[in-house]
Amino acid sequence: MSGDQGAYQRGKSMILEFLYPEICNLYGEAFNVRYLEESVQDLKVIRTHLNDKPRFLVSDDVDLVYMGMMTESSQVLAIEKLKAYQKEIATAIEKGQRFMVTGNALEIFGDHIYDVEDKEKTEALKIFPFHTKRAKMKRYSSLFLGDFNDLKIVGYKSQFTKSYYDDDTLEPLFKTKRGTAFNDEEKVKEGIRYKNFMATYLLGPLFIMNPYFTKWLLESIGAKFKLANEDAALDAYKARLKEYSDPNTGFGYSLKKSKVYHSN
Amino acid sequence: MKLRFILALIVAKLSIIALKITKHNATNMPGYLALRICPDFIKLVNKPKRIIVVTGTNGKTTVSNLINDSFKYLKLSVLNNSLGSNINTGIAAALIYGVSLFNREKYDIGVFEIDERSAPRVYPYLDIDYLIITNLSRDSLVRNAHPEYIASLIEKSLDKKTKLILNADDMISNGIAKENERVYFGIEKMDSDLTTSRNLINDITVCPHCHSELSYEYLRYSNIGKVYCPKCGFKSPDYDYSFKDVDLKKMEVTFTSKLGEKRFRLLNESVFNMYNELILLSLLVELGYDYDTLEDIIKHIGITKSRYNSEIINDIEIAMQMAKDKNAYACSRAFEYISSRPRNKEIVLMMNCTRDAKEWSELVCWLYEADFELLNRDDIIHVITYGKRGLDFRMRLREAGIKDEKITVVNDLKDIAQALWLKKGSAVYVLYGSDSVNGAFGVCQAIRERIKEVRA
Repeated sequence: MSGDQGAYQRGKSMILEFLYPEICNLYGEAFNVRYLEESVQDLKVIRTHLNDKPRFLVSDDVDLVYMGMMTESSQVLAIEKLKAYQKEIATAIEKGQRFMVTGNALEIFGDHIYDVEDKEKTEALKIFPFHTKRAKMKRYSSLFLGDFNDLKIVGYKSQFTKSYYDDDTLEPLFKTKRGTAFNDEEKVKEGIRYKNFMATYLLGPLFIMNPYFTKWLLESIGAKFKLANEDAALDAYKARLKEYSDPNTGFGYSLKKSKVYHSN
Repeated sequence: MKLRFILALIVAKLSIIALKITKHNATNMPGYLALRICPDFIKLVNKPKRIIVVTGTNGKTTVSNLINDSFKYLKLSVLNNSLGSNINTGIAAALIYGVSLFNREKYDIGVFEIDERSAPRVYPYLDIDYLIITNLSRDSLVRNAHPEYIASLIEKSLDKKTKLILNADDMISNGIAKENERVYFGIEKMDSDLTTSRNLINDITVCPHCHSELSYEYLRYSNIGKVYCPKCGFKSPDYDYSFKDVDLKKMEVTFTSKLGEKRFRLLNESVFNMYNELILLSLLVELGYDYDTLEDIIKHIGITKSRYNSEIINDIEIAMQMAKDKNAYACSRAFEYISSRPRNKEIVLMMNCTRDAKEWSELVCWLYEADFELLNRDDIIHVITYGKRGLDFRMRLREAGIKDEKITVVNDLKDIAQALWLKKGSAVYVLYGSDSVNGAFGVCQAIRERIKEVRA
């Protein structure tokens, strides 16, 4: 799907740029990068810090940009730093720069984040037409089962926010089977997929939990790889898929009532 | 006085009598009833003249117990919530015990351990004189999100008059409520300190002023240590109360405060318990006690070891070690401790949220924040995981570099004892969380019986 030549075919090792690892490191997500480091032959990881200009904006050799979950104040900081490159980022995405964005890092690429309790609006990068509402006294936690092409995706969500598409033509990354989609009203669409840009609210060690998806991603990059501990990853994936497909498994956690509810 | 409040107090008091007669041990029930009848009960009930609150992710129970034991030794009239919960119903229950039926307070001083998340529902109504925050670290992501969020909850709920006793070595909690009067405690550089983190969790990496990467003058675990910014000069606050020159052989430490330096007995050899003892001494000096009194108290109190029990049956040691479910930070501390222990070890991992497994499925992100790498050692010869998350634990152990030959996944609790190798002279560590306390006792009993059978 990428259209560009794979990293390995180019005779080079794959380059992954990890944006802001010092703040985007919640919920074990740094393992998404570590898992690729263990799995891909000669993977070069560039760790770009807050005061550095992202490499994908100065060089066209970055195969994958990864950005993960962070705190609310870190989100403001990340937006502040990336705003200086707003147009360049949009251009890079148009040109087919590959991104994998997880958890609330997704919100940075929308129009704005509105905190309904503090009544504060943070203008985001405005790259995609969607917006986010945040209520810190309400935390949504849900399991997730969805489709990506012909692959089944399993994962988690746990967030203070819900996002809303402002343009119906925006394509989701995953199609929800069970669990919460992009927001309460939206029943199917989850995340964003535009050209090679991929973003999802699913958080945590997504690549470890979804070995088939990780394989698809690395194949589409053209990387030379063998998934680390593939047997154990597949055993855990298959067991989780069976569990999440079981109609008796509750899918949401209500903090207020401290109990589990069944959805979908 | 509001009628609703009077009714709430009477019903709550009657419920205490009813519970006693029926021999029920529902310590939160009076508080629950009072809050149901009168939601602002905590605000209206009379309270002890001086109130000390202890909160934080780790150590709050130990610190509260140390303070209570000290005050009892000093023969002060002290009210606490050690028998009930540490959320609003538990605090209300304690306050009900603390007043007469006519709302007259019976105690001079109140010491309350309060859950971090309960701050908004309790702090505004308590008139807190001193708030102690032991530390703030990552906990259950579903309940607590991240420590910065918990810090903001505490900050929003605080009265400006409350004096704060804060951990200078924990940058997550020590910047809280800058307008409040505060003192800081901390431990000077120790021989075992590092300068870079070896833990997966380190939430303090960026300078709050210039956003450059921070450095550590010394670092104990995760973000606990003395931090500075090489770019702009920002650094951790100076200590008002500190420990230095730890001597684990003599079990002594030097305590420094405005009263000067003095050697004190160490209550426990672990670093986190050193912080707990330091907090107690800091509070006592704040309250105006002199060093002779402090010395006398420290001679007469101790730290209960209920979270760690060990025994030797035939030639095999069997130990139960608390490691809170979903709390990667606490589990990493347990792993550090086990990895420092002698003997070849088999580890049983039971902190797998069995209550979640009944209705939904635990989020296992925390496994990838806990330092399972510490278990990748030659003297850890076998690790057993079980239940619905057994395969997730196995994957995490494999990612930590532990070979499959060393890992056994069993389906059921009752299979654990049979799966152990029980080699001569080895040790078995059963790590349990709050969901699996009872299960762990059962497993340990089964292990004892099997040891007697195998190694008779």
